[in-house]
Amino acid sequence: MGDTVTIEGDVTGRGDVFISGTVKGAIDLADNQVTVERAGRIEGRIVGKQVQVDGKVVGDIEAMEKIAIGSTGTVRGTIIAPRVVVEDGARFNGLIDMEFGEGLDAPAATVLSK
Amino acid sequence: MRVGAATINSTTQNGDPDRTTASDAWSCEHTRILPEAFDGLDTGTTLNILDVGPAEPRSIDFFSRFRCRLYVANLFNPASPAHGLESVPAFFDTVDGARFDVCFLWDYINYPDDDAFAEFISVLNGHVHEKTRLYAIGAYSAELPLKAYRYAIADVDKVAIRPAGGVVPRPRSRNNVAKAMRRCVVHRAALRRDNRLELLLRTIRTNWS
Repeated sequence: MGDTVTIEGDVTGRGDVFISGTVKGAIDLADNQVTVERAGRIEGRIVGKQVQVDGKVVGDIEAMEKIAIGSTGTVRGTIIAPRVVVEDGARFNGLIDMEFGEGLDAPAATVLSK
Repeated sequence: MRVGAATINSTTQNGDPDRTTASDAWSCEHTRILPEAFDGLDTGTTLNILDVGPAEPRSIDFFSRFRCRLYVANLFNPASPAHGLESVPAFFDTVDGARFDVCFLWDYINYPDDDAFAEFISVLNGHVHEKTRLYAIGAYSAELPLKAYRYAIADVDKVAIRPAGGVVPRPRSRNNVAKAMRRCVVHRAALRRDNRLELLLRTIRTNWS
């Protein structure tokens, strides 16, 4: 999806998507990869198997496997995924919910084991 | 929120201290205070963690090993007209009444003026409980300069730091912090280089609603 394209409405279906334009609505592609490229702007919720953000997202993101915010990425909202990667330079404001992640223990357990 | 007399450091890169370059170097400092922020926490529950400042990959990597809800509050906004702070209430409106088990304030306490800091603490007080611990970097002396650093958790007993540009801190001493944060007591403190004072605060047991 090119950087001059704006979609107002929800995006659903099958297949990986690469977004350089603007989406004002939800993106629901739970079985596929969603990539918000550097020029991409999303105002709405994203659901994907893996979500890569190099542009700007205002909204919640949920991924079945992994969410990565690249060094040029900006996210404001709640992100939920088993694995979250934030690169140096990325901007994030909000909640990272690791409750359902692959973590084994709370930090206190680590402290106590030292 | 107001920032008072804070000024922009000329070393800011492109006016945006959040975006960094590959030449920025992290170093690690061993700490005996940080582990106490986690000591005695209930390991059987999901922890609510507040991390004030830019989202740091090292800190997120650290917390991703554990079961928690990590609230990242990058309250500093160099692009705002007053090169000041975002609205603190606006962030806390989004946390759905969560009460934090551990708050990492880092050196944020040295940026707002007294009124803005009081406003921040007032809002924060609504999101702590009787066993909340707060970790912060203050100043040994408010009369001496305090260098701007970025902070992250490298490990449970290691803090990663690197020099930062941007707004010059307004050093806040232990007494200043204690006076402003009346629902907390300074539990431990340790002097670090460059006039930095590592602080661990705990909430005072009182009638919590």
